[in-house]
Amino acid sequence: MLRALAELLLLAVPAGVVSTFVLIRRLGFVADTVTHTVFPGVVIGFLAGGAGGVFPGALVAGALTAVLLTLLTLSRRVTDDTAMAVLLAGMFALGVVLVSRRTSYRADLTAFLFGRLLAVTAAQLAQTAAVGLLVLAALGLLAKELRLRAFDPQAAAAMGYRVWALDLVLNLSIALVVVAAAQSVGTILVIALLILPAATGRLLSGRLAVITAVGVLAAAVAGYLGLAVSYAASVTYGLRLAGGATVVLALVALYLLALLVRRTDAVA
Amino acid sequence: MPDVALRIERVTVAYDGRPVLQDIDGQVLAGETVALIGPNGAGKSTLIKAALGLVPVASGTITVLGRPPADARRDVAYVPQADTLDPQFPISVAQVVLMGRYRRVGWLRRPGRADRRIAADALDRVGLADRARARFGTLSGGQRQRVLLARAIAQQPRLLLLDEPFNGVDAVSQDALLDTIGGLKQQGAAVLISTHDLSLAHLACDCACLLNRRMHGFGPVGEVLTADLLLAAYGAAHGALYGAA
Repeated sequence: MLRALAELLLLAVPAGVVSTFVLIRRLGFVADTVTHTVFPGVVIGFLAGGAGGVFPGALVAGALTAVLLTLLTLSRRVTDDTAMAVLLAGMFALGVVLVSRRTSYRADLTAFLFGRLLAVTAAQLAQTAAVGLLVLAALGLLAKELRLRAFDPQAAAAMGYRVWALDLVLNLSIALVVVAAAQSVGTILVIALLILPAATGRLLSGRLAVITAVGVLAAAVAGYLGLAVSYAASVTYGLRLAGGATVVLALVALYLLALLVRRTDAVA
Repeated sequence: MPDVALRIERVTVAYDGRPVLQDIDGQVLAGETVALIGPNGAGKSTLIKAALGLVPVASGTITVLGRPPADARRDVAYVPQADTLDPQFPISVAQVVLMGRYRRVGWLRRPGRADRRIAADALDRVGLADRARARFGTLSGGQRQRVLLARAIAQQPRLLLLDEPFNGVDAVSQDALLDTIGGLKQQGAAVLISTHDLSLAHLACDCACLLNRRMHGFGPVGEVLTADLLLAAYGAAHGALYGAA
């Protein structure tokens, strides 16, 4: 229980920060693509090395996707959304095919897709912390360049910045958050962590620093609330609710709450 | 004789093997403003991108401050059209102008007090010092264009490239833009402005480059923007255009 909370809090910080860049670059679909393409990496990792193989498998798939997405957006021949849809569907189907060969595949599939939040190990916590630090360092050190690229890519290129290199850093950061969350929250529900925190912040402020702060806070609070609800339901009412899902529901609830109290001038 | 800031010699630019600009010549001297005139699709933006080294030239050469374009970017500022930017973007006016300092600040470092002062001065020069804390997207189109010019000034460039800066700009902002560009020119900056507004070219520029895929004239504004040359560049529609000027 405490480990699960620690995992969610460790995820909240990089997720809140990455979601800010997903918001300003409008990379929701890219983020969704990565969540689906990491899935076959998780499956292959598990088939090859058991539970210990999941993290390296996800890492390889995530990094590969980030590179592919960056290359795809460079090419003017393929439109971005078609290429991403092909990548998303193809890789996800590959993962399903691979996992369906196992006799226990229903249980495995559920675990891969929705995570096993209450089964988080100390090793997973360490992995999440390491990945989070790496993402925070990269985005922190390149914050001003990434912001310029997001706001005005033409001017960034005119100033001599290599836009594709900045894109690669951000795509890798998105992939790393997905990888870190794959075992606890699951590869599918992590999309909520990549979009909702900053989307909630944007409803309350037009300033990037505030959006990021609100995003981190929202992710952390949702982690606590979601876990508490899931725990209370199982202890008090004997209901077994998936922890990852209640966390996402809490995040959605916070978003809706922000929608009610938003300052109209923040968005106008 | 003032320095040549931008020299374009027999330049041809092609996309996928098809030439979009052919045999273009021209130059912009330090302290001079040149208008890039032509109809939509004439290749004005492409020529600006080529001068920034963002589009490869198929033949001919472009020299910026005596160097290849890609090596001169530190001394060149590019001002895009304000309406190509997302008005929802969460960023303040002051932050936009400060972006002009990023290259000089360098990697891994944050803009310092001197950078903030240069940015504040630049914003003052376009007459928007009082809007520094406003969100960029809440400003009018003309004001946003002035903020982008302020960002370019904060870069302290020797060559400015402006892409259609007067499009959809109200009279107040147009005057502010013209004033600021005039000031930059007096300080010795070279300025290239793409526009399809002939009256503004007369008002703001020393020379004009008349363009429609190939060059139809280059020289002092009064000698280039003549009925004959405009007819050649624009075709039959030119009468209406020149009448508007």
